[in-house]
Amino acid sequence: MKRITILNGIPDDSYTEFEAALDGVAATESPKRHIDVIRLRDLDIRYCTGCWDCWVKTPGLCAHRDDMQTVYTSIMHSDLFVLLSPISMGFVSSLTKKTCDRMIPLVHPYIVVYKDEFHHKNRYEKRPEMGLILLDPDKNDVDFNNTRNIFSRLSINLQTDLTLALHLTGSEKEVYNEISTL
Amino acid sequence: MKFLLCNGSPRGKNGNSGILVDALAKGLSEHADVRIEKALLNRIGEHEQTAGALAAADCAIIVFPLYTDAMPGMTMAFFEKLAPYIGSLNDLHLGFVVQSGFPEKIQSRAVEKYLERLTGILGAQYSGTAIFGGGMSMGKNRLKLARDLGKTFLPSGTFDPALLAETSRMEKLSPRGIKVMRLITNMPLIQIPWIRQLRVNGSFKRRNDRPYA
Repeated sequence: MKRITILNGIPDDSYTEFEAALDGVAATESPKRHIDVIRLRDLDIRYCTGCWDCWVKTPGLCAHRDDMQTVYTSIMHSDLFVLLSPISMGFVSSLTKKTCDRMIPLVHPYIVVYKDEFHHKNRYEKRPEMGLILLDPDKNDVDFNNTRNIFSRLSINLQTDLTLALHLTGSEKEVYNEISTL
Repeated sequence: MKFLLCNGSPRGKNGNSGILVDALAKGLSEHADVRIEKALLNRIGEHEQTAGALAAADCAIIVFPLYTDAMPGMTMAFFEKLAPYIGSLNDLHLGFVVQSGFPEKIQSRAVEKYLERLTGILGAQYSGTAIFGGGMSMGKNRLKLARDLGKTFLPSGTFDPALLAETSRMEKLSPRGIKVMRLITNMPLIQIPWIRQLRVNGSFKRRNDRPYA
């Protein structure tokens, strides 16, 4: 069974129907896949302060003992983790970005050459695939492409692949058409 | 002329971004008519005030370290506070400095493209992005370059393209560089700074821990 974690980085109640439909799809049992939706705005997630404790003091563990523990566990037990965010100032929400910053405990400080570039060595053998779902009622292609390119780079840094990139308006219908089929 | 220098590092004054901000300010201060204001974006509670200062400035440069291939979350939170000014900052010249531990510029190109787009969303005039790669240390040459970038930013309100080319000369590893670095990164030598810190902290034995496996 494919395990999927969706990190919902919608920061407010702007997409309540979409979120309700998403929760409904996740709750529907399927023999093929299991979806966990984590609503980031309900969690205590602090900003990365660049202290590097997770690299040099407590390897693999962030200095913040906050709700990211739930996120790390879910990601590392998934086959695919998906960052879901509305487009905000042409990029993802700061809630989503803050969560991404906190992923550095998943890699080592050590530098290796990967895909012909310098990157951090992976801490875990398991490398869940990565996905991106961007909500934008205007469906601005420039914002979608810029954001996808940045997350494509992040997938290289985490030594995985960005295997999903959806550009949605945020309607309920899209949840049934695009997400329930994952 | 009002000039705002924003430090987008979560480490505030104590990081390389702070050093670059100071160097830029030194270069800018060689112009007599410039009033320089500095802002720390790790002071989240001051974001609205800083957004107002940016909107009132003639020029601004935002400096940040590359965090997971883009700006730190705190800096993105600041960008969100600029939403009230969308399309209205037509007189603002806005530039960026991205500094990264990776030596290749290609690591910062995707966020560079976004920064140009952000400037467009605000209706401001894009002054360019200086990409400093391999930023683990701030040597004399690097600081001089940052000073010169500040000095030559005016009167045009843009970074000097010739200096931008100097900030990091490596766009990406050459085919020969890839082969050599593959060998070198397999030796402990290049990892020594990290190994040393792990040992000092008594954490070396736990270096391969996988707490969420």
